Amino acid sequence: MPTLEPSIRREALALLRDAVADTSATFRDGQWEAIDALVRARRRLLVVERTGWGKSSVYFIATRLLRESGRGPTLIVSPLLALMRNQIDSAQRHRVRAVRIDSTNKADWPEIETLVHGGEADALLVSPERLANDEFVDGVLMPIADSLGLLVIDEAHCISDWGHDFRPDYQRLRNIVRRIPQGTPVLATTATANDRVVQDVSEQLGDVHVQRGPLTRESLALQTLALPSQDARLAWLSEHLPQLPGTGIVYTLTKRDADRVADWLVESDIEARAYYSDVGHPNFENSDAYRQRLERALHRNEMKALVATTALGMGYDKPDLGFVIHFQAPGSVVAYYQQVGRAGRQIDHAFGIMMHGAEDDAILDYFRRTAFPDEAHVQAILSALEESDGLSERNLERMVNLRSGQIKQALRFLAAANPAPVVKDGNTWLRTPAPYVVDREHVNRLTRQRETEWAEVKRYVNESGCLMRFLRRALDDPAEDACGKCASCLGRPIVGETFGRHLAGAARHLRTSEEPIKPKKQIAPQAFEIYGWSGLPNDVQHEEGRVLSRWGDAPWGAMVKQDKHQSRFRRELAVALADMVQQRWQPQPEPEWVACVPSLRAPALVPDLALRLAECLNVPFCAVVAKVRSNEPQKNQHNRYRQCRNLDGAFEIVGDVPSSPVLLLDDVFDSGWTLAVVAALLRQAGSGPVFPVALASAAPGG
Amino acid sequence: MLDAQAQSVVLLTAVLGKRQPDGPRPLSTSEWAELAQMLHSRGAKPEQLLAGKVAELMADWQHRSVTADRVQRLLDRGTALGLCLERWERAGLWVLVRSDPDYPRQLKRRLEWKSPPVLFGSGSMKVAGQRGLAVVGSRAASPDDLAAAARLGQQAAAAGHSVVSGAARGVDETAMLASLEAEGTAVGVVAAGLLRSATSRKYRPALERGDLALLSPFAPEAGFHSGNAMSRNRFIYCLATSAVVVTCEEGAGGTWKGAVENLRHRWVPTWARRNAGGSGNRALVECGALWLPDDTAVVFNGERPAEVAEGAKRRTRVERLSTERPASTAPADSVELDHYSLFLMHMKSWAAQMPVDLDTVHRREEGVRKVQVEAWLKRAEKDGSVKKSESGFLFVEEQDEDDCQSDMFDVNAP
Repeated sequence: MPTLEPSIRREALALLRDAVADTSATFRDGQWEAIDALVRARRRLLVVERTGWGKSSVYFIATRLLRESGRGPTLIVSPLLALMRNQIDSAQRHRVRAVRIDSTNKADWPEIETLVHGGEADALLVSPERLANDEFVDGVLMPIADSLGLLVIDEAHCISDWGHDFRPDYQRLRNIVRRIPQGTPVLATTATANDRVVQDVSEQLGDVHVQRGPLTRESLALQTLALPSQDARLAWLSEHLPQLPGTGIVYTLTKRDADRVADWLVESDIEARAYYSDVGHPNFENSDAYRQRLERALHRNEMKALVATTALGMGYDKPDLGFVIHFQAPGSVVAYYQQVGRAGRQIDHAFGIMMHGAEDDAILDYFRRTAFPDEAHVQAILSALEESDGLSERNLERMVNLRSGQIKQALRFLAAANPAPVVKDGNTWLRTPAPYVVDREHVNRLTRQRETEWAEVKRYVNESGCLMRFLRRALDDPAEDACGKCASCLGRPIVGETFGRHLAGAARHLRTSEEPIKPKKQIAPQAFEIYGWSGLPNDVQHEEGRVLSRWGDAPWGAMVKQDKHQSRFRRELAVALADMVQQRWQPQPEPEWVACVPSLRAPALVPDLALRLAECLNVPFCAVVAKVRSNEPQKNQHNRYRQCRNLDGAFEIVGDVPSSPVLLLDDVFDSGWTLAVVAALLRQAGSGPVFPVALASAAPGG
Repeated sequence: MLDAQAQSVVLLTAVLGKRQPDGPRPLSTSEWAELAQMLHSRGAKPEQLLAGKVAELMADWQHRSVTADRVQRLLDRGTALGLCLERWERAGLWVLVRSDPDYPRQLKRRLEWKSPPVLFGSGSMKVAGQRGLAVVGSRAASPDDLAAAARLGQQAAAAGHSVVSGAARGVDETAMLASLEAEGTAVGVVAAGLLRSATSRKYRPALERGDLALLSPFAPEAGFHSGNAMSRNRFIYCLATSAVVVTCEEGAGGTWKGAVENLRHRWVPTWARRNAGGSGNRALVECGALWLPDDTAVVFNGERPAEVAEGAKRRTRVERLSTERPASTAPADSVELDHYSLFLMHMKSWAAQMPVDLDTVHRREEGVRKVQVEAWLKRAEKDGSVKKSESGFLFVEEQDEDDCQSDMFDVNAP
């Protein structure tokens, strides 16, 4: 029907011009072709184009045209909340009525269903996590599944396990797409994929047409900076960040580092905030609302930098981002290109600086090791389910001694397979008749792949040739010429490498980045039969406490790690604790005595530290807590039920308990249940408010 | 993974997710049969509909309910199909269409165009292909009835027959589990809750071993619906080679209706157990069932005892639609229809509301001689498919034999 083409094309162009409010706008290379393939030929399409090329215009204009021809709403699967919000804005510009459906707006699901059936929604946005959640699919997607039109998969490189960012939830998505018959238009998009990933994604999706454009970002000036110690990198940031143009993003590998760096920048009078998946703020009702606020603030240049984990990554769309700095090196060059490519989209000069620290290796190694659930965990869960007609997650916690996060991760991993050994029906996990063996070969291959990718990042840090060319080669972008802008091409740093001015302050910051210990409010049901507790009323809960460091982190956490296996903690640690209590924390009402959590395995270790802390604070130490039952190490108890039950009847109060406020000391703080139980016993025995304090918090999984 | 043909059949006939009042209504079994027959007669295959050829292939085909628009809207449910198939297959459930080599031949042979276009199930379909003893009984069974069901299960296992039953609590489950325990095999035709049955502790190990097949003509999301429970009974008989009614109540409930339907169609010989808890078995024998002898060997020898056949013939209201012949080997999904069945389908669409006279029927049945039309009408009158009156012939819908698909729509009905 070639004669129809001009009119559809004219219509599409009018929609584009309306959306960008520019009557002379024209399609970018490939945009019309992609729209045409979806709307008229109803094809399956993989579009590989750089961020900012206008992928959303393609699917929103296609949506408008398909809606006008009577097709149902478009389903857009998008991995990150930050991205979804941008897309809703973009949808509005295209006059597409877009609705986001996720776990946070459960109350709206029935209304969304009505909107869809009333023809009042043109596009639905869901995350792959939601799409992999049976409760969500049953509750909201299946009732409207009949009427869905175009399917859009954003960041489609996540489908490929050759990609840097393979996710089990995308495995489910891939299995869905493979089962969609021809004649249903499907659009997969990505800005970051090398040849192997493109080929893999197109094979995974089955019979897809690939459209690929150039990826280079011309305004970006690159530099690398290997500074092993954290204090040097913090000092470098505070010295140079204020001179960088505009506003930008500082990426860290962990949430804790995001907090640490943001706190330091604020302390150095630089407007910065931490951003990660569950970052909270007391003035906001939930993390989601707070993160929206942070995204908006960065978008309007109301702060110098967001210090973010990869939760702020794919698709965050700010045309004038001046810099992207990595405080720690990311796991792969392709991931790096995607993150640094956020900068300089519509401005002439932007900076991309990758720092590399001593801790990066250990963190990335931890990510690799925990990317797949442990085989023993998987077997434990499967055998528990095999003996049942289905179990809720809470009941599983009673049957297997695993952290609830580990149980969730293992179930999610198992449920992504097809056929899967487990499926979720409502709140119940069921064992299917499908046989299951852990695919060790697959796990090993992916782990090796990650190691290779990390080695490439380290080569990038030490690259003496053009840095942009290095990145382009990794993405199989053929252009061979040097960029002429990076530190290698110029033969000098584009931003200074000095950090001496703020070094002392940065070191002090690292010594004083303690974290709060929150009171426990909910005990596991039936876990405290000996103590006879069915709940923790307010008057036996402890107050907010403090933990001095994180296990292994310089400087205090590293000392704790060394000393824990000696018989004594060094004096410096007692002094550091006293300093924290008196100088910074200053709990009110002021504690008048010190108690501690005793142990049968190392009976002198903590009382010795408590005594010295009491001396520093000039208050008495009273050994009123006794360990009366030898129990399993608390760190081997991996979920709330086990942690509570293991402590039932383990401690007793002996002697007279002063009625004044007390500091309750433990060495390593893990789940926090030990402190909660001992505090409750002290309160029951008549003590004043209990303030828990600990030397170090245990790293998760460690 | 389904091929394009199977995809198109599922799209056209299955409820995907929750059916909406304003959404397209999946084709009923007979609607699908008519569409498939039309495509077949034009040398076309169902999967061509998926390739954007609906308007072209359905041109000049007039049908009271199967319109090109409805077919297109059904086929437009591609994303819903992807979501459903992924979900079913992930849970270890499979989907079979009639053209699939694993689709049970007995169903096609006995039910012809009334056999379900799509079967959902779990476990090994091999056990559904072998000789089977249908064991049925009402839910309210006495301990004595249950003991009898268990004995039948064991005897079936020893004789190398599968137990075919409904996987409901009571007689069904007892007979199936007894057979499985005795290292036999079983086939359960479930009306609802396929997923829960397939993951239950009692059935899961047998499914893993390949000794059990659970199947259903209803999509796994369909809730319990008494119409479904009723209409699946015919599949239990049609998948078996002989049937034993353990107990039932006369004139009431699915067991009674299913047994009567089987006697009428003479799908398989029916044996009724003496001393059953319910009153219905005696009445079944009056309708043509045989008392189950103490020595059950005769039940498994596959012969249709002469007196059974006689009794059944005496009581049968309708003659079977056509004589037995080997299962269709037609490449397309369609069950090859004999001319008389096709004629009945036409009558259903022309004469279900108002009587039509002989001349009109003859005119519409293009290319068929008038004597043939008269012969068919006479046969239809005899088997109760049409009623003759002064104004012509009126098509009579068979009771309790509504298309199973039409029962699926209201998945939330109690």
